[in-house]
Amino acid sequence: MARSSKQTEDDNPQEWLDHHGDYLFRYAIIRVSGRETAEDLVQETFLAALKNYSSFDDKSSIRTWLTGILRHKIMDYYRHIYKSDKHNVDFEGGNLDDFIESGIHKGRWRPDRVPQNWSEWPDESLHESEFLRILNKCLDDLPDRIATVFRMSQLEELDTKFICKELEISTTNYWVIMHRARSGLRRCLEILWLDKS
Amino acid sequence: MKFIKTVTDLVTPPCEDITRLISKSQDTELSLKEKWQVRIHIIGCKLCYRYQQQIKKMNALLKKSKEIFEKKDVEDGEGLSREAYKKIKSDIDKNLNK
Repeated sequence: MARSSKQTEDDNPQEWLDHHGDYLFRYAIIRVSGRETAEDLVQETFLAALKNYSSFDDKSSIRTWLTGILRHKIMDYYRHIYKSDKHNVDFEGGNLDDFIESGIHKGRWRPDRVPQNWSEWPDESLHESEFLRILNKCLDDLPDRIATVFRMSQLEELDTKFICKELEISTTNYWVIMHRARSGLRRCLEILWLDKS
Repeated sequence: MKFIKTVTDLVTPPCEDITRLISKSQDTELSLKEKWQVRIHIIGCKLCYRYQQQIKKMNALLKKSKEIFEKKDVEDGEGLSREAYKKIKSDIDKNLNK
């Protein structure tokens, strides 16, 4: 890691990439879909930083400042992905295919979709980057809109009000989307995990 | 146990609604009525109890993994790729020489 002696090292934009490139990449990779996207966002961040260096406020560190720019880029990315996904989230029905659709058992778990026993699940043994990798893979299997809302809320940790405003959705719709995301992820993790063991 | 299950089915909404409430409880405070619906339902319903535990576990794993990942320094292949590094480097140089 860069020993942050601001004056000497970080004053020179040529050093930024070496000191903060990997950090920014790691910040992005767990919040967006795919390496390439993360690398593109990091690249855009550096270019924007060079352009706006004059606006840099000495009070914050270069890394904080760069991360701020990256967060803006990530936000633009979320907005873009969400808006370009034409998949319609069915807010009313809320059927997740996990439940019986009609008859006297309507609304109960479908026998082939019941949650499995997770006692075999590794708590401590699962490496964090392995878990994040599987999670991202599962997110990629969800419709973009649903994955995006989940990423905004759980990975970028934006608050509900802000997300709803940005994406122009109601709080109720937000809950429905988050429920879809969690249920889809729960099932996906279960399948990938059971597959491995 | 069978008796309890029957009671659960009679007095609480079906699993589909309960899972929705379990998920909602992660985002916001449930009303008193909703809280009790969940509480009573999972006494008799092993599957929804599992669902609840797994959602919580997933959340906890996500939080923990993210925290560790962000704190750690770069290790094996978790940084920018060589190609990306070169590309960005040359972009920066081009811009600085303008």
